[in-house]
Amino acid sequence: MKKIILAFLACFVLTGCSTKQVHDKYYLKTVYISQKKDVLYSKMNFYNESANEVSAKGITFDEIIEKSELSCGKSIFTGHTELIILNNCDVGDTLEHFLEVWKVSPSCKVVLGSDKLNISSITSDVIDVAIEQKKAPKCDIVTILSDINTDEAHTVYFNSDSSFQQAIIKD
Amino acid sequence: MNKISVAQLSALLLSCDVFVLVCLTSSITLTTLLGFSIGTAIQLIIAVPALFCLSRGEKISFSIANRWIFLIYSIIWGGLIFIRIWQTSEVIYIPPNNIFSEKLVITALVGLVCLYISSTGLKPLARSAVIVGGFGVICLVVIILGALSKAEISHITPKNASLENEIFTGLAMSGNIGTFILLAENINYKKIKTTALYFLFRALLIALIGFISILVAGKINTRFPVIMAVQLSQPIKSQRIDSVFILIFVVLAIISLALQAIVSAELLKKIFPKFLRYRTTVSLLLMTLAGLCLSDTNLYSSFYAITFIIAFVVSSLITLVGQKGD
Repeated sequence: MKKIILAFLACFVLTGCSTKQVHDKYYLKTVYISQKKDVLYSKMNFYNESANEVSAKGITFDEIIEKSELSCGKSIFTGHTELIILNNCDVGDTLEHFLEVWKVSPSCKVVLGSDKLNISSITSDVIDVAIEQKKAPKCDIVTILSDINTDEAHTVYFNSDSSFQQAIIKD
Repeated sequence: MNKISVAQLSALLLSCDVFVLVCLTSSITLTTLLGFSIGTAIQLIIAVPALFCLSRGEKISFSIANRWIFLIYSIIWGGLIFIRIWQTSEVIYIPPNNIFSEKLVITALVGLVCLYISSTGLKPLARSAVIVGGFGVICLVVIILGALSKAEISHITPKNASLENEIFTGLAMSGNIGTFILLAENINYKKIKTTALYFLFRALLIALIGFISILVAGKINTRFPVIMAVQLSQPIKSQRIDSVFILIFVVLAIISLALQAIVSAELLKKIFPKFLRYRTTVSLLLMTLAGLCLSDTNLYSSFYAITFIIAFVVSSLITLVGQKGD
């Protein structure tokens, strides 16, 4: 019996709890990615109230994360990302990287957006309501990746004034 | 080798089977599941001669030739498990280490823990496997609950997969069959019933995990479809539980490797009776070497499938011929 209790305790201790505090990281809420030639540009918005929007550019996503962390001075946790906004980039590769390496939430929404879009004004809730009102298709990352690998994926495109219309992504 | 119960035997072998399935790097389709089921049926058929020997009280590992065959077999299978750990460690998060690569740290840690566990013998490992099996079932239930909201029937698409290739893939993933026969020698229960139960549970478990993977991640291009399906099957939106899955996965890896180390150590003891100390260490080192030599091979090729079958059939024939000679 003692061994079983010890085993349970070991499981709880070893499942990620550490001395790090929640406020030691910034939690990514919305990320905007665009690509011009071979350079990636990003804008990030966080759940943390004290965090400002951060922009970065780089050749790889790892470089973007590193530069963003340098800008904001804290490490960035991407596991709770709720919205990805893409503009003129390889959608399939980008989303596969986000899913496999950044480990974004499976319910993370994927939309298209223009350069001048204010990413703070768009939230996942807006898209959820649009989906409920049937003004937007189901556009979570899993659905987009599944559809894009077979044919085409349906999502929405946000204009600079935060209005949107339905859009199609082809890989 | 210590006597173990049927539940312990099943837990040990099913842990290894699930670990190998989780490490699968090819896409899973309905054809894959059919191929794996046919492969399991083929293994059941080729296990008949060995079962015949066991049911008559004959031990497959009695002859010197069979000991060598199974020793090489378990070292190669252990090496292939090492390769799977190495390949899969890239998807397991670990804090960045500037001195050693993350893959090396993970694989080395798993190897060290296996060394400790395998030195204690088969009985403690078998008991642990039953407890881990219980946790694994809970984990599976959680995954199923999480997958319910993510599953899409439209993900089941008829892909152009060759049934023959999938059968060979299934057979190449079944290196455990040799270990099964060696362990079956040490159970105090009906061998035929044990075999039937093990293969039945194996087929059902693989079909269930494979089907969940198809429903959740069937259309996503990913190197590890089962791992992707598990990561996507988060039951609670606000709290990720990847660490629980990683914990179970690492424990399954340790059980799989430790089992081969223990079996190899026992065979070394039978072949070289004067080899008293450091047998498990030598076994793990040989498996590491085997892993290094085979790292560039295709783990799911027909070569491994046919090799495992031939080794198994030859060992059964040697025992049967030895019986008739007596």
